[in-house]
Amino acid sequence: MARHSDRWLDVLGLATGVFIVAGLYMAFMYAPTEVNMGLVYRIFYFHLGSVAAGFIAILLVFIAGIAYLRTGARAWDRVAEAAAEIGVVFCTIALLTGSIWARPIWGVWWTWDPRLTSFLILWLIYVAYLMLRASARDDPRVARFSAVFGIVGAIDVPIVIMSARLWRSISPVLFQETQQGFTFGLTPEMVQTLMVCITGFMLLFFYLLAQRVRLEALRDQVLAIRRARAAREEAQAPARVERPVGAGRRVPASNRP
Amino acid sequence: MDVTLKDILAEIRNLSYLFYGYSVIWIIILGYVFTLSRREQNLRGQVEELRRTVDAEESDQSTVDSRQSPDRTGRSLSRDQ
Repeated sequence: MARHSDRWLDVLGLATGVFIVAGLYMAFMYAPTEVNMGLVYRIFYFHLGSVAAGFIAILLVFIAGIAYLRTGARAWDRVAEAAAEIGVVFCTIALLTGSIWARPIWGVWWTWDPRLTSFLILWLIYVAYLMLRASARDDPRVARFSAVFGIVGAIDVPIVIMSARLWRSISPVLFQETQQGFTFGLTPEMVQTLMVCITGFMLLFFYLLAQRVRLEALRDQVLAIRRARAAREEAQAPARVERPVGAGRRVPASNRP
Repeated sequence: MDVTLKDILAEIRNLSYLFYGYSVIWIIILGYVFTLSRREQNLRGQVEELRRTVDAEESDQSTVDSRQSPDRTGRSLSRDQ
């Protein structure tokens, strides 16, 4: 069973590598240069890939949180914790690359634009989630509270997506409504490159998730061994206490029967 | 279209931001993969150590139990009895 899952993980790792290398090639060699932004716009492909992977991670925290509250199965809690951690990694990449991209285009590293602000709030929510988890890892009450926190935090995702439409924002709107319906506002080569980069980062997310869940299972194994050891020591302890206190002491002759 | 020195400098500056952007992406991802691998090694080490300790404790316990078990004459073989 373990070998079978390892093989799947190898295949997933290989597919991730292939898509990421192809994405890098396409981002630099295949996709045309954007007229207004120049070369720096090529950050966009992996920046958006990170955003997509971050959103999928948070969606998974949401689903796993609901499943954990309904079933109480530790496996769902493991998935939620792992997805939140990897989601924070991808959201950090998105925040930093967005800032680096903004500097030559907008002239500032950061601006309190609705999309940027709501995304920063999302990042802070899941950093707080991880801090909450780290405060008491083995407490089921903390796991339940974290599940609720993760579910409520996911509400920020649609706000981030809709923020550029709902409020005045300088962030670009990727999906544009035209007479032909919703379009990307990109050339076909750019769309193809974007799809390959997003797929590559999605696969990377699932690969890291599988590794992270395995790590959590290993940690549970350590805890189980420790608990079993503590329980055995506890079971042996009364035997030692029940032993007569003065067993080896010499009894005075007058007290002997 | 004439390409001026200003355009070339702007492109070079753009290129440096592109470099920073991609560096950040791969440093964070590789750093995370490295921490995952370290944590896995650490946990595997803990599992091995705990198993060894438990095995050693179990073998000690079985030795003590065999010493404490009474022999044919009903006397205990244990030293403290």
